[in-house]
Amino acid sequence: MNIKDELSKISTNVVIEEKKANYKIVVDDLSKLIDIANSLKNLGFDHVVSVTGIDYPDKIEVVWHVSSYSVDNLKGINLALSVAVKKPEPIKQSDPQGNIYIKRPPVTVPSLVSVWPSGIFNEREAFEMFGIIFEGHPDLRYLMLPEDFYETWPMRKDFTYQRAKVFIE
Amino acid sequence: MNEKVYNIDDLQNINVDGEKYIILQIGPSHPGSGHMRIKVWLDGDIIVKVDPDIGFVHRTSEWLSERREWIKAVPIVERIMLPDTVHANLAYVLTVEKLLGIEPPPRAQYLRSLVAEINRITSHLYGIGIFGIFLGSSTVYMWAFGDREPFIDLMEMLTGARITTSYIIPGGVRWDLPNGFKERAETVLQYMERRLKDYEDIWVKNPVVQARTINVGTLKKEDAIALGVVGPNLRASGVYYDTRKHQPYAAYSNIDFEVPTMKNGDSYDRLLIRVEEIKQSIRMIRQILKDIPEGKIVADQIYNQLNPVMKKNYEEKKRVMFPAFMIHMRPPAGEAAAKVEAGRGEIFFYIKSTGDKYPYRFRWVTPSFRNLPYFTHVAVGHRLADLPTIYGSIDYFPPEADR
Amino acid sequence: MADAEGLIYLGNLDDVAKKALEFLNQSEFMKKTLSWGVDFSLWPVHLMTSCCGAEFAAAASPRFDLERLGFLPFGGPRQTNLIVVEGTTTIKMARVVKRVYEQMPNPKWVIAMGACAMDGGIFFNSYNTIVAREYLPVDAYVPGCPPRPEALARAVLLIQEKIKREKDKLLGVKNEH
Repeated sequence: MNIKDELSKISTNVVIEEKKANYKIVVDDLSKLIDIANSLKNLGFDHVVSVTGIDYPDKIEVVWHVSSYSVDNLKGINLALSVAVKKPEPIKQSDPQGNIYIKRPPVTVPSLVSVWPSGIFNEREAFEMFGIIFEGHPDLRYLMLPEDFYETWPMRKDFTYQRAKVFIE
Repeated sequence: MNEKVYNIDDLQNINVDGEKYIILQIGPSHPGSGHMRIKVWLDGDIIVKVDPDIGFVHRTSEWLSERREWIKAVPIVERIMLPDTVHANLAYVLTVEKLLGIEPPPRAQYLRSLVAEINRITSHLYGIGIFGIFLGSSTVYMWAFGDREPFIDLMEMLTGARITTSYIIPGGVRWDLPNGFKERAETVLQYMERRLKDYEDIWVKNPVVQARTINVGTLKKEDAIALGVVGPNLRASGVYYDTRKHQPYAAYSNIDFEVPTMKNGDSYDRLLIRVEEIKQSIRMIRQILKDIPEGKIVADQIYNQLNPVMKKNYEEKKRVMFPAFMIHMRPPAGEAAAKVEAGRGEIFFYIKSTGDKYPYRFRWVTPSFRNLPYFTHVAVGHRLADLPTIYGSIDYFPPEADR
Repeated sequence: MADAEGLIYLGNLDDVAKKALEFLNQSEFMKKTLSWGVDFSLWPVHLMTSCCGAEFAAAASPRFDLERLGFLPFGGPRQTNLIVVEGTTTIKMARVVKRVYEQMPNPKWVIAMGACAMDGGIFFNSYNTIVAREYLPVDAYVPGCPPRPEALARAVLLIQEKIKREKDKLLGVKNEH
């Protein structure tokens, strides 16, 4: 089967660069994400390799990489499924003592664990590093960071830190 | 937003009645746990739920690489995957070469496959040794770690360092074969073939090991595909998938080798398949040393940028020091992804560049991170004494899962 | 001093015993024997902190064999007297190492192995790593990335020389709890 024809039937926004092994589907509408994922699963893509986020100044792009273990033609392809979401404005809060805290709120994306169960731990890591909340994930908790880093989203580009004193007891 | 999401104490009561079951923490300072904490809910002696608590060795390699130059990511990536340094090095360099558009010459491709196969043998011996310690046998641990040393000596003869070699650079490799390497390699391979017979007598055909590992931790073929596990664990469950056959890189399309698969998917099959893969690697090393072509070891685009002193060094001693222009390397804008089959499974890299001197997004997934579902889905229903057996048979290495 | 029934009084037995003990404790023979005994039975705790643990495991293997110096990795912290901090310690792991260090009985020694434990190594300036001397009193440093197993043997010999130099302090060491 011709891969380009099959992918064009599913969506119109398809990018293929053979030499760099770059197969990509860009999804414009958030509500169609789960339908596109289900039709990819019927084609033969049956597991998730990685889930990540890319941070731009005004939006966050969430990328799922999928591949296939059972269909012979698709075993050598890494397909990327990407969605872009706008970031809300930072919120300024102030203390009774006059200190100002800047809080960066998270963004929301539907979760694909119901389609591909192999993405459970990958989505937890994307949540704690970028601040992406996956709706419908059965067990969304912090995975690797200790409680010193709650709500700091370290992998965003505007994360700065200053090591004052670490409390070890 | 749900504030309960962050509270660590809520962990104790998630979905399970907190008073009926005992919660046991097998912590980091335990001889059978490695650098991680495993929380186990027990009903008498039967395991009801397992929750792996990882992140004790999270050294932030992605965050650091996005703030340093492109070539400085090579040592960082190597020290995260310590028993398997050549494959991590190779995966990163393949991705950067796709962005730059360079192809290395044929002799360099064969040399890359040679060090990759030597490293696969040392990585499998490390796994066999650690599995022996978890089952309580220190004889196999001493044998396996002692048998790694001749192969590490071969790497030191070729590159000058024991484990973290940094041998592969964009465009080729750094050193050429010295005199006497082929004879020394043949001696080491014959020694390993004799030793494999001893391993089969003491370890593989041992009735105690067979009683502890047969029908323990079974994972069927459909579940293995749905959970997305990788490496020899996947092939022991019956799925025929190897990145060296389906997305070939280096010189693997010219070498003749087989990929073994097993039927049952229990711990005994995972033990057998590593011994079979060592035999295949020995066969591959002999073919490479016989068929290796002559020629240069770096690509022409790199060779033309060396200054005359370095070119003279290259002609006389057959080595390339790190040229200084690699510090200022700026690949053009775009994205690239690459996959490599390491000893424990498949490494995946995804790098995005905007033409700047630092990478814009550096993302990689290691094989141990993708093998985590073995704890949450496979260990449920077994006795507590079977947990070290399952842990040791999947060859999980915590520093590479946390990156 | 003989009594009518044949018994001999020697005075207050408790006092004499205490004086004899103090005399023995200050003799050179006793100090040398005790420091020789501690030198060749330094047992480290089996706690692997990071990637230098692979060279620590190789140091106990048949080729480099540190067990001939008495170096036997042991499971629990209550019967050990050495702790080897190998490689990078993250904030989560440093809390565990400190708690294990406080459970070991006195006298005890610390080796910081690798470039990451000395000054940050290749992972410097990261938000999650911390240097060994900020939370433990270190006795010997081993540079390298990763150091060869022979370098770890050299560090054990340095600790042995330190014990021989400070053998006056070995006796009379009290535990706090």
